[in-house]
Amino acid sequence: MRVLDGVRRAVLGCTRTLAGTAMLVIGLMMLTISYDVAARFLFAAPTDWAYPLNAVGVLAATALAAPHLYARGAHIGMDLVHRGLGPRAQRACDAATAVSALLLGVVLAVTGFRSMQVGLTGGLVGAGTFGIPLWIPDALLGIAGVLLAVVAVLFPPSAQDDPAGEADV
Amino acid sequence: RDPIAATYIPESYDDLYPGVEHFLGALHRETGGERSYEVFDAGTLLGAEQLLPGLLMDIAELIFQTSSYVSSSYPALSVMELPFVTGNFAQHRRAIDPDGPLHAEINDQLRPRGLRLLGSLPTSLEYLWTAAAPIREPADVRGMRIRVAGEIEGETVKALGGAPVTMGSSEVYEALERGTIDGLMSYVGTLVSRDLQQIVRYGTVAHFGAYTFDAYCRADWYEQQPEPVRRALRAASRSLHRQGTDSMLAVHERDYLPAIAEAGVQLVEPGARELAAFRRATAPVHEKWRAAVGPAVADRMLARVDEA
Amino acid sequence: MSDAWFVLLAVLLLLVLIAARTPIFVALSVSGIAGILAIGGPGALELVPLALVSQLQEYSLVAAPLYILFGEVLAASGLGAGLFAAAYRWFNRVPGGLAASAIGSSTVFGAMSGVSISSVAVIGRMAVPEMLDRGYKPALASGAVAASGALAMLIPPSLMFILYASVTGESIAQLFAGGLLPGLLLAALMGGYVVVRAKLAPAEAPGAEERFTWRERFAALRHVLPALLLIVLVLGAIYTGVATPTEAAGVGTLAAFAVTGLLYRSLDRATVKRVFASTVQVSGAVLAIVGSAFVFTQMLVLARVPDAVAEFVVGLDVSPYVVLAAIMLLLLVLGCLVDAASLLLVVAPVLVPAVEALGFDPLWFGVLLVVNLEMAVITPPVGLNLYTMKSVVPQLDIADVLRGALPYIAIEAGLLVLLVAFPEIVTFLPEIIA
Ligand code: NA
Ligand code: NA
Repeated sequence: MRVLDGVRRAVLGCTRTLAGTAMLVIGLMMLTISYDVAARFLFAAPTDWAYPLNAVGVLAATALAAPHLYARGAHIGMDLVHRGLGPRAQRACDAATAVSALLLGVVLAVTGFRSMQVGLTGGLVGAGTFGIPLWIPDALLGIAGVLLAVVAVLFPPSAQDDPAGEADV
Repeated sequence: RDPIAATYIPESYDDLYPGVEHFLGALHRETGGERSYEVFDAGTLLGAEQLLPGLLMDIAELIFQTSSYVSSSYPALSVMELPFVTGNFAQHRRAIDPDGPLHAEINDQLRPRGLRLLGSLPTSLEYLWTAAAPIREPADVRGMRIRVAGEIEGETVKALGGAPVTMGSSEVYEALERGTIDGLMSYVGTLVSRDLQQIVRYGTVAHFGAYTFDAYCRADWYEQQPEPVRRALRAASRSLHRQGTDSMLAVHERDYLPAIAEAGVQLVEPGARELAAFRRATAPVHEKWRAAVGPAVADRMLARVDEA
Repeated sequence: MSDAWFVLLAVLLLLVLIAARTPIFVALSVSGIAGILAIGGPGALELVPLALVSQLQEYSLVAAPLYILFGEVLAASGLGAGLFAAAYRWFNRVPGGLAASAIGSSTVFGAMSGVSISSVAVIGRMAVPEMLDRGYKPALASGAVAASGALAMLIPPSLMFILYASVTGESIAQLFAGGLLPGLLLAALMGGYVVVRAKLAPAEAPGAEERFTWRERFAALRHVLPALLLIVLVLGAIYTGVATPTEAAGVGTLAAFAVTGLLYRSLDRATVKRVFASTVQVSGAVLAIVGSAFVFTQMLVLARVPDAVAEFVVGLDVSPYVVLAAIMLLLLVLGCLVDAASLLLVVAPVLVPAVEALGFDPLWFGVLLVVNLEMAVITPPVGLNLYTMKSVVPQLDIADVLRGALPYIAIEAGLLVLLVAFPEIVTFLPEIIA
């Protein structure tokens, strides 16, 4: 059991770091958009990078935060039916949740990394003068998938900090 | 179930969409009804940026896509997008003939990276459209924010001293109205399909760029097709290039150009001296492209364009 | 089995998983994946990363985390308490004054926050205990806050309009403009309701004894003034066309940091960290749903459900208004079962082509849809605002919360009828800024 707790702590440290990176990404989005506005109004020279980088920023922040939010039970869910069930039915529901999250993680990891490989071998980049390589968002999805699969196993609903649902979202 | 063909063009784009129908119709006919496709248009299944990855990952067997979305990844395709690369539209159209040498040369460049260009519909040449002040010479572009759709167009605007701006075509009207941008580079189809002639006041008529609306498949998929199917694909490509282009030109002539004239857009036709200045100013775009595809390949391709 | 059956089973799986308390984003993705697998085979699963990339890299979504950050920063300045204090000094003489104050503060809070649950949490935490102390009936007290918290979705900036823009391509600025008058009208109707109710049944909302001088009233206003000015500037920049909603969000949030840090002096390291942590939590949770809803939608597209719905609706031999009424009823029922964001994200791609084919304006429909979501967040069994209310004021009985919210469903239905009868309430402002 102690080993399991150690693994959980290590994984949580990892997901927390990524969630912290997501915080940084959102801060940078605010700053780069403000800079772009300033450059446009003051120097009539909008950047060509603010638009594509911020679009990837939304995906990055989401993918980086999702596994940690799952491990903490902070995703939006609906508690009404579940809370009225008996303990056995509740356990069955929690198992269904864990299996679903594991499945999603695996599909996301496999398809995300395959898509990344296609983007890399094809040398695919986004359109425009500041094209971002397409493998980057795919890699983020792949990583999110791996971590989601891991937290699905290590943090089944019963082991999460808060009950899913009305958690302070 | 039928394999999937996808495009981000909606059926309402009546200048380009017939090209898709000509291609698929010819393919169906030439294979004796054997090859028919389930078509997802208007980007419903694969958005503009997802068509190419969707093709390479085998979601779709055929895609119809504007070259500017593909040429960032496959710079060989940009040869037809270069500013002032041909003298006129007729030569432009001959150069990209699916039975011509340039088409084969492009596919030699695409094949090692898994893609095949089946055929192209050359859209009419791209002009610079502005809302407040006309562009008569390169100096007029300085400091202007011009909306572009692709990399080469962006480089061209930069070479002229302007700032290229990327945004979805649905946002252009509002952006012009609010002065977020001063103008755009586009062919007449983009202008009219978004009703931009209502807000644009000047159009500078010169060959600032051009793109093609293309049919693509995977290179290895093409190799695997039996010869009769490949023959049918070539016939379909011819149909896209010939009937597709004809119907685009007819629609422009009948509806789009009159709509632009009726809205009171003033067309600026630069003289020989100004044209030479535009040419000189955009020469660095050719140089950048040469560096991207390699000088030997670039020379071969440009020679094919010149011969056309 | 035909595609229609696969779609039906996928929808069923979605509802079962939601009932099992599976996080909504997992429920949407997994049922979407199951459907894609059944309809298109294993090869079609590559649609999953394509759908996520395509939806989450939609540029209009950039505004979403920024407006969430904007609201969180302003909330950190203690503005919620300031707003309620000010509203109370102005409204305490009217019958049901505390409830009217709560609705008034929700209205203003709604103009700085795009998310209804944060509104319920911030206003509810202060206002409801206060009302209970003064002898308000729990149902009246909690209902006013749970329902008016949803005004944040209709009064710009609004996350729901950003999401609607991201799936339909409508302009965020015009949607924001379209939501403003209906939002204010709804606020007025809600306020009118509590006043009339308190007048008819004084036992439910005892009158206040306190008296405030005009000086006290203006002093309370002065405290919230800088934040109010900021809100006016941000929305003004959008309406006058100086900035796009995304630009206004970026610059406005930077300014909100400045106002909160320099004027209110309430930004230390820990607060900044808390602000960003809760921004990541709220936007991460919502955007995960946005991406996975698109996976589900792509399953519907693969089965050609939107085409079939549009064809069916257009083929109906009845007035478009009958169809519209049927759609609104359907949304009311679905709104009981699914959360607001998923409802919007799943039904908009399916219904908007049909609604357009009937000749209705998709911008106007977007506003109707958000009014439907106002109902969805307060209808059981799945009504996020109700449970948020219960979780911030745990001594409330959930049955009282449900009962208290019921009259507002009728008010919102009434607003829908008004917006259908007088579409100008929606389209007037967007046409001015267009
Ligand atoms: Na709001
Ligand atoms: Na509900």
